[in-house]
Amino acid sequence: MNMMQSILYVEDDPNSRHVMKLLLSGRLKVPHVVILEESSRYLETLLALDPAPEVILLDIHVQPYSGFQMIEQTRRLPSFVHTPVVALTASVMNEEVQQLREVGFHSVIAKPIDLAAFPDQLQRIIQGEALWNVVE
Amino acid sequence: MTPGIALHTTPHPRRRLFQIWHFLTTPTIPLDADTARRVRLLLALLFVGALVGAFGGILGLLDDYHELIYDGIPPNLGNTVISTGPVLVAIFLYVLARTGRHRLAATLLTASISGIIGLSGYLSFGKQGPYFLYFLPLSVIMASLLLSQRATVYAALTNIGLIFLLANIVPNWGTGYYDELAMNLVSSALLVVAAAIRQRDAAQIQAQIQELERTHRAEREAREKAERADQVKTAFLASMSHELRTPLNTVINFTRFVADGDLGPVNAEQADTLNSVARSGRHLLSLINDVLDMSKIQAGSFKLFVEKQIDLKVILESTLKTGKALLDEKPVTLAASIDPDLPLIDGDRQRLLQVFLNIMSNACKFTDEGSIHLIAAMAGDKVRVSIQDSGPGIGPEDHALIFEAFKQTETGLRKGGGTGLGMPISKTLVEAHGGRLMLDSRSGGGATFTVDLPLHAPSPPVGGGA
Repeated sequence: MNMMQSILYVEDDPNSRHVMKLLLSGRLKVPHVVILEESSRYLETLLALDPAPEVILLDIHVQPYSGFQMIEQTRRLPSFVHTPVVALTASVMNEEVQQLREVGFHSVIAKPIDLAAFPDQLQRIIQGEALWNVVE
Repeated sequence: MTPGIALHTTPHPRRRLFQIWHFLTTPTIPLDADTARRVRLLLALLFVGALVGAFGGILGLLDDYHELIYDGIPPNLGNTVISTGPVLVAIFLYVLARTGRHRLAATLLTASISGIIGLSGYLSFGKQGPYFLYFLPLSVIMASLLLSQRATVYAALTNIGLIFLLANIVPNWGTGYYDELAMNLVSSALLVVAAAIRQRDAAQIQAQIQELERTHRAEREAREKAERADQVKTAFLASMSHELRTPLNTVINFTRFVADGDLGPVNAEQADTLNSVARSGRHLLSLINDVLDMSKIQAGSFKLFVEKQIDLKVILESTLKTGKALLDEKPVTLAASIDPDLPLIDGDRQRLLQVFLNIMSNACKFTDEGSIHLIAAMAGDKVRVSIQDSGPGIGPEDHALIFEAFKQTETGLRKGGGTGLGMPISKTLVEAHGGRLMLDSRSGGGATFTVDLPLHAPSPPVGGGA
């Protein structure tokens, strides 16, 4: 398995941030993990990241820019056209997932995340596979 | 602009004339259907009247000048003046009618007809006999067509009064007016009746229209209310799902981190205990999912997201993978016979995966030894997927129970867990695809759940409430 180098995550729930920090920095030892608690400086942070993130994880219910606005901002940047943007969300009713698909998210991972499956899911997403299975 | 567009913007001359006529005779203010019809008639009469009058005036003018040119007689312009008066009156009334004072215009028109006939009767009666009286019903016709039943009665009474008045003031009247009086009375009476019938019919139609509109409005309001309620319910369920899943993310995963020793050493007993917490968390999550699904189905707000050409093989592979993980160390063999030529079908990937995962996880839960076999192949014009297990099986008395919401069999309850919603939800999902979910089993003889799916799923939503 290739080691992931850099991941950007935006999440307003402190506990979810903590879970992801334990997983990405603690277990997976990803060297560059940047976690934002709100989205006002999302674009700046994204553009300043070195190395550029291999995958971007976005919660949807974030202030001031929602996940929907952030994906739109990301999609306007030519250098991030091929970076998979993943909705990491607890809103996984059918309609909501459909909406995520329509606005251009690459994949969706449902919260609660499955610690055992998550590393493999991320790896598959980075390799180009789109994951939309939110059913447990 | 392209010629094609120009062609469309310039109407045919006949159509253009029709448009002008339509414009000239259409009321400028909103009116009920019956009044609008009367105002349209009034406008048409006045417009045509003015045209005919103007035409008469031009002919008169030509006649006057003809005399001047050929006979040297100076023109008296009498014909021109006589026809100019009515033209001006018609234009004046037309303007009145078009500016919203159509009742006044119709009343003046009716009154002026009576007046002109009365006046010319007074002026000419002696010379030309009582023939003008035959024209008197014209005003009653106007009142009947353009105004109301009451106005028709007034016009008729005015005419009869006029006949008596003329009989007394015209010098050479004589005595022979009873025929004309009778004719006026009869025709007036008929017109009053006609106006009354028309007015009653119009009132009835108006009442019917209003009744229809009321019903329509009530229906629309009820429908909008139901839709709003539905939206509120869906939004509530969505936010419930979100609000419950967010803390579960913390509960399950923090517990796992601690149990797995990420945050420092734990002894075996502590790890076991914490793993139980995490498993219960997972279980709670699946209960939440099932309850929300069932609420959606019962609220009638459940929809499939059908996609064209999905590959069932991918979904079944995923099901097998989960099955393997669930069986863990149990002495159960998991086998699959999937027809490699299985056609692509229309369906909702998520929901079909949910169905097969549910059947598979039941099979894994209840089978302690032996085998589980997944078979997928065409059966007639449907795709048939069966999952056979060598578990305890289900007695025929429990077959109906399996598909009922919130019901579980004795074995199910002993095995601990589940909401008893999995199978009812799966059945609804399969049926929403236009397919069937069947159970073949007897006590002690294992169980086979079979899903038949058509190649093309119907797209309309399904649900208990709808």
